[in-house]
Amino acid sequence: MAFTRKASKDHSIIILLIIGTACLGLGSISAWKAGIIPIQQSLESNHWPRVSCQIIRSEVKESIDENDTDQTIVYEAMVLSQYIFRGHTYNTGRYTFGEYASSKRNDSVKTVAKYPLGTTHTCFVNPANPAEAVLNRNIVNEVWIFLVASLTIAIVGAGLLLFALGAYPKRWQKNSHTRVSEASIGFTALFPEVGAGQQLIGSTVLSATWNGLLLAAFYHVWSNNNQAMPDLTTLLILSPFVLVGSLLLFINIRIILSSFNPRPSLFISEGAPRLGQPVVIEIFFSQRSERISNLSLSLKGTESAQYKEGSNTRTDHNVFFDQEIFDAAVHGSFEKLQVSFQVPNTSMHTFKGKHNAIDWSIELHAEIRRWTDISESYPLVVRPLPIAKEEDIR
Amino acid sequence: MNEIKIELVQGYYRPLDVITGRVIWNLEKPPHAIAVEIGWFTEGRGSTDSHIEFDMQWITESTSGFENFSFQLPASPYSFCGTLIELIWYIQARPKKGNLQWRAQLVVAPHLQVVKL
Repeated sequence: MAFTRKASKDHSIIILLIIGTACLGLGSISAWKAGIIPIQQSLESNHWPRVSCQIIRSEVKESIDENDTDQTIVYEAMVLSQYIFRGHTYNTGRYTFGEYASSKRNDSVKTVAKYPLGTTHTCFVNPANPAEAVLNRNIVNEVWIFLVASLTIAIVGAGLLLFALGAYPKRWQKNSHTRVSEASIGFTALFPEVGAGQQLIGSTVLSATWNGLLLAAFYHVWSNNNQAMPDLTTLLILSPFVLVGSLLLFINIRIILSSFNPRPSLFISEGAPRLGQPVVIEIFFSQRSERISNLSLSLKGTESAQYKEGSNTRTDHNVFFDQEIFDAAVHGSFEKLQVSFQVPNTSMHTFKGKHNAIDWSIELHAEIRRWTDISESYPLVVRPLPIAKEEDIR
Repeated sequence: MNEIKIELVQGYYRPLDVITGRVIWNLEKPPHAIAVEIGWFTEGRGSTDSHIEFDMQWITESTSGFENFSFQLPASPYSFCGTLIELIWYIQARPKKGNLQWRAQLVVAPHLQVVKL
């Protein structure tokens, strides 16, 4: 019974390697040149001799950032000072370690204001290279900010490389399989997969964001069109977005309406039943249970398989078991219902892999007269069969 | 002759059963070690999940020999076959040096049959 496993290439690993290498390389080089070197020079300058220097130029220089497609103007303080060291006259345009151009003009104006034209200040001269001198040997904030940002990029790059090479310690790697616990939970409450509050908040945020952006876009078009209706082409382009927004709004309204429904509470005699184990579910409704006209419960088993398709990750589902365990018309209000069922002992227990899963759930559906119905899904962990003796096996 | 194989009493087990077997090898070159591994993996629509439940090594330079082993299976997962996913248990033996490998499927399920979804 020999067999082989299929092998598959993962192009995402190659992309991670490229991105990781680029981030690590660029981050390291930036951290070295714009961070480490200025700090190192500042520390070395503690032993540099002081001389008197005169400011012979002090102005803010404007230029266009060549790397920026938006043609942003950047500003740089141009401070030129002149000094005499060992009988020779030098000029230096460097006023501190780690100088940067910035889109904020104020920073450059402040620097220029500190060193007005014609004033005299103290310079620190590199005795090994007298042409090198600075007015301020302290590390400016920009150096620290640049160093932290560059190191962060380098660390992220290193992390991506390690991940791509599978070099993380095995104990850090997420276990491929979460074994279903053998422990009994006992009598417990069941909770829906997605809470009513989560649904309400999620749908409201999504609908408000989408329709808000759509309204903003429509207003922008309308005001640019001299406050007249947009032309047909623009309307056609906007129409799919309007349809999606309408759908989201409709769903949101349904969820808001359903928040006024009676709320079901489910309790189960064993929170993690074994295959073949009889269990009892008790169902309570908050006020207004008389509005329910029909109530049904079903036990559902689903396979889920996650896979990559190109750059997308997809998950396919297949319901392999769907059995109605309760279905009845309801007349008047009621306090409590009890339903008995068991997961077939020939079926499969709950299984959780990284990409594949077997899940069980209790599906509740309550019809409400002239209102949105209640539909909830309650996940259920199903444990393996108890280990029986030889003579008990059928 | 260059072969390695595992002798088992049977190929079907219930959860928590003890798998008892013997790995026998007859190799052309010294293996450095002989390894036996028991685990499972998934096949089907989804990406593969896998887990090694048991592995054992015997350090040896003998080109031929045998070793006995026993291992208690866990309570789960069962061998199963669905529309999207299939979970397959296996047992494998290989020398540490070289590409030679012997593998066989096992069934681990309470009714000694693959669970059909």
